[in-house]
Amino acid sequence: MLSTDPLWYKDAVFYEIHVKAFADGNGDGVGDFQGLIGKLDYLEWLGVDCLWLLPFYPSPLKDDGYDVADFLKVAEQYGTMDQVRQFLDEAHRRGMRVIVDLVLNHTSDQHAWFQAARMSPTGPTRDFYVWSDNDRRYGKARIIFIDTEKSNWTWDPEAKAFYWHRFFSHQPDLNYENPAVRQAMLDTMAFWLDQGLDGFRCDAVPYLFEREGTICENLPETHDYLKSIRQRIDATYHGRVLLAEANQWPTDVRPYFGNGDEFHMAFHFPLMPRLYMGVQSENRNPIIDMFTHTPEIPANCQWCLFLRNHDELTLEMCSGEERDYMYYAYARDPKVRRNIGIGRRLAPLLENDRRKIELLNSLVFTLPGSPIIYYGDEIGMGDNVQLKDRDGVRTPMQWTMDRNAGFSSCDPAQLYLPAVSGPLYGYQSVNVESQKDSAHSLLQWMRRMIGARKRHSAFGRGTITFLHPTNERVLAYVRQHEETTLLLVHNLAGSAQAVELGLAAFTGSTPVELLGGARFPRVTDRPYMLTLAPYGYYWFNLVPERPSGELYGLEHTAL
Amino acid sequence: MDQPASDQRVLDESFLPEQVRTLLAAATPTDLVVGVLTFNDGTTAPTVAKTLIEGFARYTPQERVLMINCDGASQDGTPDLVRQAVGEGARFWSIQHPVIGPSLHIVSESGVPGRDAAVRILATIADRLDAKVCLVVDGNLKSVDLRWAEWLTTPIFKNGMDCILPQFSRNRYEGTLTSTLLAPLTSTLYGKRVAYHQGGAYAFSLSFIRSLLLPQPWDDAVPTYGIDGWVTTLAAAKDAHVCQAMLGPRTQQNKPMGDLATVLAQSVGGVFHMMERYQDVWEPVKVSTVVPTTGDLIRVSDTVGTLHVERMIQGFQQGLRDLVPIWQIVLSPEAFQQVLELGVDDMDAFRFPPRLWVQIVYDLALAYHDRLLYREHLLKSLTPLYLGHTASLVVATRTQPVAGVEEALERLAHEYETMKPYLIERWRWSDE
Repeated sequence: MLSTDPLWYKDAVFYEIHVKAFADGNGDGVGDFQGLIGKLDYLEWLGVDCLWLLPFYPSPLKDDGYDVADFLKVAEQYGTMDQVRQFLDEAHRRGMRVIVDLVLNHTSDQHAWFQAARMSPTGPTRDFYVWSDNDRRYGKARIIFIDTEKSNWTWDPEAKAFYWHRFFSHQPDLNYENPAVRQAMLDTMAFWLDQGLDGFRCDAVPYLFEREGTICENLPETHDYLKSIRQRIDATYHGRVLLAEANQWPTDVRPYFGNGDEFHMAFHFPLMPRLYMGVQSENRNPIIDMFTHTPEIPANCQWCLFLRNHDELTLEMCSGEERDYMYYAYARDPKVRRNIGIGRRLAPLLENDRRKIELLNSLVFTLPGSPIIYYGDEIGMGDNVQLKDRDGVRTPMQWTMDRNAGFSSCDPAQLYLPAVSGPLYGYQSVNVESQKDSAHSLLQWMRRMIGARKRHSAFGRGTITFLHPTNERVLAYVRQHEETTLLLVHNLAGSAQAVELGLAAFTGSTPVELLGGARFPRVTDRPYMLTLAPYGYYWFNLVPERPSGELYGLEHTAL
Repeated sequence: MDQPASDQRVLDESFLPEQVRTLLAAATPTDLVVGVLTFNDGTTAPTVAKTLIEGFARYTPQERVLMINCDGASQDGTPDLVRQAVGEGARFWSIQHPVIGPSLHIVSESGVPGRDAAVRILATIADRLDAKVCLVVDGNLKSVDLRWAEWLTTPIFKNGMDCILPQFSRNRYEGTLTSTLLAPLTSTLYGKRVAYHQGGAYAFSLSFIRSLLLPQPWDDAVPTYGIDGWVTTLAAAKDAHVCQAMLGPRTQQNKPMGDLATVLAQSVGGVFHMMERYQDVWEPVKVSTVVPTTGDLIRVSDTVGTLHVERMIQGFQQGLRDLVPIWQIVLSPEAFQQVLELGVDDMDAFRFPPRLWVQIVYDLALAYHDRLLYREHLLKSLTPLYLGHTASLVVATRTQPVAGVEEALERLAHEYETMKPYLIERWRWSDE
């Protein structure tokens, strides 16, 4: 049963999936919806609430599907529209929602709109794109993919004009000044919502409009259009969600929430590298500083927190010094650097240190926002840095120690990418099957943490107050929502730490550890002493002292 | 009930404290042994003792009374305060009973540790002194009345009763674990409709002490599950003339009892434990009948108390999240499925069918019998289900007069009897 709460996304744990990488149902070496349907029981068992699918539309796959050739179809290799609908029904039946990537900013140069546009200056779709007879317009706009692109303009010999693209040159930007484009993309969204989708992760939203003299990002026109999308969805559908991909500073992302009338959710990009920095430097300040710079958002909005995703660990929102530190700490080997970031999965980034993996997951599970798990990170999957671009973190999901990691029955040479097979992260040792059988595996730990998080809405909806103990290696904060108060304490250091917390405001409360149910000594007006193992953490529910000592009102009168 | 002579029985009395042996050696003939159980009850126990002394003087002046304060090592000077309150005019012993912690870490509603040892000592003293009646009263009570002296002893002295069990007047939702499980289950099993109000005060005849109480195996189960439920079940199960004394409201100085799950595990575990012992007794019982009463007629009070129904439903929901794997093991498939299907989205519409509740109780009794899980975990897994059922009872009846609650509980009791063949059939199947 799906929750009927329209704010469901505030409590949800998200799970990011690439259809091609998850499970191959027809044995052709590429993951598909048939395979995905077969793995829904696993996802239900894990306890996640919402699946985020990367683009599955027809595409020449020059940018792994983000170069969409047809917004209204399913790529043949992934299945049929009927299978998508069946997948949605099956997910919903298990209480899981599904959102999908929608690339608003651009299309593939193979899209029929672009092919028609370049053929005729007077054709109906010519103005679907941004054309120029020179490459000097919008000169203040930065180039995002500096590894591959020299300009945001590319000459098209057929059209005999330059076209505008903020990303790869094979991805021409749509012209949102054109009402027909705005309507076409609204219709695209409506089409998919009518199929049963629960929302969209909207790709690259800051770049929809261009205006001379600006950096062509976050323009007011963009917000006006996004608000019109929200209006249409709210007017016609119930319980759907829009998630913004805006790799910006929180103050720049804040407008994307509007007054609660634009996006429901947005990624908190700059927090992510600072979680890694905090652990590496054994100091809480990078993390607390980031929240100091994070503005309040409307009550019906939510941040999305993540440790890794299908892209590189982006360092765009880091200063030069911070970037150097991150490269030094996590990417000394130049082979693992991608664009402005690091192309590694979570486990290899953390040198497969289970304690660090747990600690960082604990942070994204307990800081304000909804966590997103990248497929495979729940079992500590490794990557393949020898593969080009970001393919190294998009290898087949490792289900079993059998052929092709249980991902596909095909000839191994047929796989869309080779399964990771090294001694440390290879599917023979890291796979779902073996970890399901082990009570203390990372997978079982993740499942328990997801379950514990779901028990308290304060994780998703509570306020946050950072505590400031003198020991800066310890990050402690209080989350409060309605009658619930949670105390979260993390040791960012690789050595055991003691900390004294100022909890006088909660005098009389009893900290009850959420995972084991152990009751800790009662809080008094004196500093509360805790000791933490290296990279250790505590999740406490501060159970208040009740005048009658009763929670239900019948403890003393049950007999 | 036949009464064996004391010199014909060989009972192990090694548990008797040396102090008691010395007192017994010098004791004079006694008709009534009155034990006041205390543990840090300095504010209430002196009044209890004094009231009872006055009551016996008024209602049973011809009986020779020995009052004994059994104390569980109070730190507030309770024994001295009780002694002062009793005064020089009455026969009085002050003894300390041994205290050994039970495994479930709970004492009893009276908060007296080692309560089972105290009751056993008092019964043994009555036996050794050939006292006709042994009365046990909690020292933390604030509602003891002079007439208790009559109600709790006269049925034995004059009417041939063997055991007097207490029944207190209650608020409409007070004692829901008792009224929805312990009492109807015990009544259904053994055929005597007892209120199963544990502790407070109860009395035994000498024949009950000699034939039933002392010969029982006083093993670990008694302190583990609590002497009060054990005594009540013993009286209900065995061939004894049971009478209920209606004692009015029960007010007392509350003490920590342990969390709800522990209270539930102890009390329900006690009944389940005795089901194994007395299978031959309860299997053939087809119907239950009322037992005689003494005292004032009792009506359920309309006072509601402060129940947090929303939290109770949340407690049930948490069980749905956390305990499904355990329930899947201990419940029958149909009961398990029905539990999963209970809708909890609309609190006002939340209903936990009585029949499902009874089936759950029977399923847990069977799972306990079959040792499907570590028993303490099994018993504690009932807690969210109890919260859910109680919340449902409150939601369904809170706008009705108190008679509506009583009717709902009567229907539930009837459900226990109707479904008893299910219990018997599965129990037999399990034993084969």
